[in-house]
Amino acid sequence: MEDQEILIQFNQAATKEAAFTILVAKYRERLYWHIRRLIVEHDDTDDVLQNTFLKVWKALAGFKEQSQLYTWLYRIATNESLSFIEQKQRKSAMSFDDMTEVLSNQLKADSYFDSNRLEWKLQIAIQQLPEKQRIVFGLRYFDEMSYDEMSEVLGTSTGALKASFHHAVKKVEDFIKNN
Amino acid sequence: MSNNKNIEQELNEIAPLLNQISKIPVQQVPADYFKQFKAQVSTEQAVVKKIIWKKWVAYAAAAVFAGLMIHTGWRFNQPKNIPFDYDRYANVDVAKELNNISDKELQEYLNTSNTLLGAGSNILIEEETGYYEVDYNEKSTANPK
Repeated sequence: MEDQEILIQFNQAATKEAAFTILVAKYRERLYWHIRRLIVEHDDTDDVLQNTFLKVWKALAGFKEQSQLYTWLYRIATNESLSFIEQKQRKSAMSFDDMTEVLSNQLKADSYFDSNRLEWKLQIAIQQLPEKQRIVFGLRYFDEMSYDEMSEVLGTSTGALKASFHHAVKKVEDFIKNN
Repeated sequence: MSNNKNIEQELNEIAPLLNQISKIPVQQVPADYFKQFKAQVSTEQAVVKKIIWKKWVAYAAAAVFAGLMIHTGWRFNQPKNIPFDYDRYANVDVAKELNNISDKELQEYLNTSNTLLGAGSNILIEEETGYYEVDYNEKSTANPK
């Protein structure tokens, strides 16, 4: 079902819940991986994903369609993830370096972790990036968003996003080559 | 939504190595997680209710506590009860005490009582057989001297 149709059905009391179920089924996996790339842990990702859909449920009736539904969902998921990370950092009083190390160790703790595989090296490399670059890299590389769509999600100019993505890509490649 | 070719081209220019890496996620996810995933929007309402209930209990507890404090304060600020001294009045010789009061004082007392009841008012005294009507004004007219 197209997003436009989901919105129409959501705004009718009789079809509201069914439309929301369709929306969740359509976006749960994409949003899950977007969040997980930032948060790493599955359980934390699950919590943030639930919070994201709660926010969507509450706010969708007031969605003014000034952006695409798809980018609006990513914006909520991104904000929820960043709030979660901020809270976690505040509670544990961790620096950026400490946080990077914790996230890398969580990745390495995965039972399927294989340090020789490029996919795992890529995951570790992403954790070395600053938060904003990590988001930009994920949206472009994994979610394959255009710069205009990324601009809708992050509220940043396309020029700045291009520069950020290029920096991130170079850092990731360098890390993989050198590790 | 998909800009796959643009991205591949972009990566070829700046970081070709990244085009060789599979984008399929490598991290583990519990079995059937996505199939079983349901957004718990209905439980959110329960949570809201629970929070409201908790708030209600807190307000009620605060109100009870404030009530107790006010009541206790009021009780402590009341003048203390002075016990009635029954022994003192039990042995009073009424006739003797009345002799000590002058007729003038008695007259003044009776006049005051009349004033309080209203001019010309009568008091009814009930007895077994009926009522005696006592007219306080009558006394003054019956004995003008």
